[in-house]
Amino acid sequence: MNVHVISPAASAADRFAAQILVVDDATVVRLYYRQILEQQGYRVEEAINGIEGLEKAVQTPFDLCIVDVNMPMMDGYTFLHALRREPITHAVPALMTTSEAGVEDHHAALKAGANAYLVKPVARDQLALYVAVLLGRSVA
Amino acid sequence: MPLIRSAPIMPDATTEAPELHRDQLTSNDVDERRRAARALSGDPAAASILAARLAVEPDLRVRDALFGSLIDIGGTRAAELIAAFIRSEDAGLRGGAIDALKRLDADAVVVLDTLMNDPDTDVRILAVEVTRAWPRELANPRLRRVFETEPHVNVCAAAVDVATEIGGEDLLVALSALRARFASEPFLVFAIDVTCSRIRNDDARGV
Amino acid sequence: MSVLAQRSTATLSISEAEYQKFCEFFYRRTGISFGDNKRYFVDKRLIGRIEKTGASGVEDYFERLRRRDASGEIEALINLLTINETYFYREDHQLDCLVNGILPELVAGRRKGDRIRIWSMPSSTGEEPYSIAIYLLENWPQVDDYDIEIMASDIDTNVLRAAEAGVYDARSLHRLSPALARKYFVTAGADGFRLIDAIRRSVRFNKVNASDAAEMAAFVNIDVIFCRNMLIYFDDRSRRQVVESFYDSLGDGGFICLGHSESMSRISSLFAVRKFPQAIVYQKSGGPR
Repeated sequence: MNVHVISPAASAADRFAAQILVVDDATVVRLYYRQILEQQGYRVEEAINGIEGLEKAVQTPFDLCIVDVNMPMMDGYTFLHALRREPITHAVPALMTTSEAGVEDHHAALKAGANAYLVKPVARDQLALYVAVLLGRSVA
Repeated sequence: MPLIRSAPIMPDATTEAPELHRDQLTSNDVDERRRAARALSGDPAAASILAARLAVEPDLRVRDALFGSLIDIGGTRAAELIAAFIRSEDAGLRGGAIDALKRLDADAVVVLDTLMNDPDTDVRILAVEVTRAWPRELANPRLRRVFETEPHVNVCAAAVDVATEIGGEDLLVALSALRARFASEPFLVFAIDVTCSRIRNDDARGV
Repeated sequence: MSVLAQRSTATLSISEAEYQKFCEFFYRRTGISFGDNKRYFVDKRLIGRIEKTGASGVEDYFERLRRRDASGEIEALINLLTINETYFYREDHQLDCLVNGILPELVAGRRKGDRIRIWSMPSSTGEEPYSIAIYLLENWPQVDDYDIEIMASDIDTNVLRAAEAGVYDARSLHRLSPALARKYFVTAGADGFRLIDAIRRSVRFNKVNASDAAEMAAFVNIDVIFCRNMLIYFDDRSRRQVVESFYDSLGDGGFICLGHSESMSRISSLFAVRKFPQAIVYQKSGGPR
């Protein structure tokens, strides 16, 4: 994938301000993403299901949400629908992840309000790339 | 704060005829459907009706009540009925089924063992998660089997995540072999390293 | 650190990995996170419980915590790890939310003179329900336009009696301005303060066991429930049932407020998350979602 996105405001300093919410019920997944994202200079917060994700999302101005499909209490699709309905979080970019790989699932994710969709397991540079693009950072 | 919890006392669900409750499962009113679902919690014969309603029920609160009553009914039959929803197209139903199976404890073991051998990868991934609720003696042998024989990386990852919480030293050898098997999968290697460090450190201290 | 008799010279300590594992487990279970700066705080209490329960070590204690028949152990642990105190105007951002967020929504469709039912459970020694009464009088311009009913319940008859008596010490009043204290209390004894009759009479106290669905079912058409720092002590099963009772007690569009470190995310998906500027609360939303 060749992507070249430049945001006028993007700079090294901006990168350190970005806050990312990781919503996934697997501990090792959250740890993995945290390690990658913190290395990139982002700040990370975690949630274990869609309800907690929503509670955190409405309280903190996240620049991006990474959300998995299968979670207890509230799944990823329901979370996204709620995120899009809520005025405060309506426009927050969202990256959906899933173990499933069907085209229907990709469409479902986009329809639910995801900006992009990744199939697990997610490679390090793949995550970094998608996050950078969704944050409007230069990836040149 | 002194708070004495006595055993939960359910309201008497048999004051109305069961047929009335079953009819109300299809009421237009969400709260009526919810109450009807809860009222059937003491009625084992209603298990298949509750499951049938789950398959078509759109409201999350009523689904919650339907699963709740199936859990209260319990037993291997309820476990089988609930397990069917792991294959649902609806993520909420899948999640509800996993949650419910966790709460069925030993009643779910037989159906879980079957699901962990299911040809569908996604079913196996979800099934593994249920073992998190089990005592270590029950869960660890199944996790080990996954580490030793499971071909799909995401099923292994699910099992590794569970092992991070409940794994014992008897899993270390299998985890090491798994790490070698998936050496080219950085996420799984990372996850296994986390798990092993959790497990090894406990045992390194000794008693 | 203390020495366990059966471990001869070994002293119990928590390794970094054990601390991580415990934190992950506790976070998964309760939603509460501990930073690295809480290490000493957590370790000390964890070790205390390990010794008290006779567990052979962290591993063994951990496995006990996971068992369904843990018999209140996780609750005892939560009790140790969270701070509980009650006083007037505790978490008053929620009272602010009540007046400036919740009530305006609730009364939008109501006529003057209509009833508003507020339920404080557990009410403990009464600071919470009385705080609601005082806060409404002081801060809600429309307080006289509606028939406000404040109900307060607890399982413990001793605290209920104390609540009805309405006598408190200075510590309970520490968040109240001197003006408020003067307005709503009279001195009682050497260092006691007694709530004025008008406020004491504005709250109705009942003994209720939250786990008794029949007792809970007596409360209907409630508009707002304050349930702070009670659910956290219940096991999964009881907690779900209590929350279901609350759901059934609320009228359509009714609200429930939990304690600041509590969340429905670990309990139930029955309620919708509602964000107000002052607080996050939960709502029984009418109709399909």
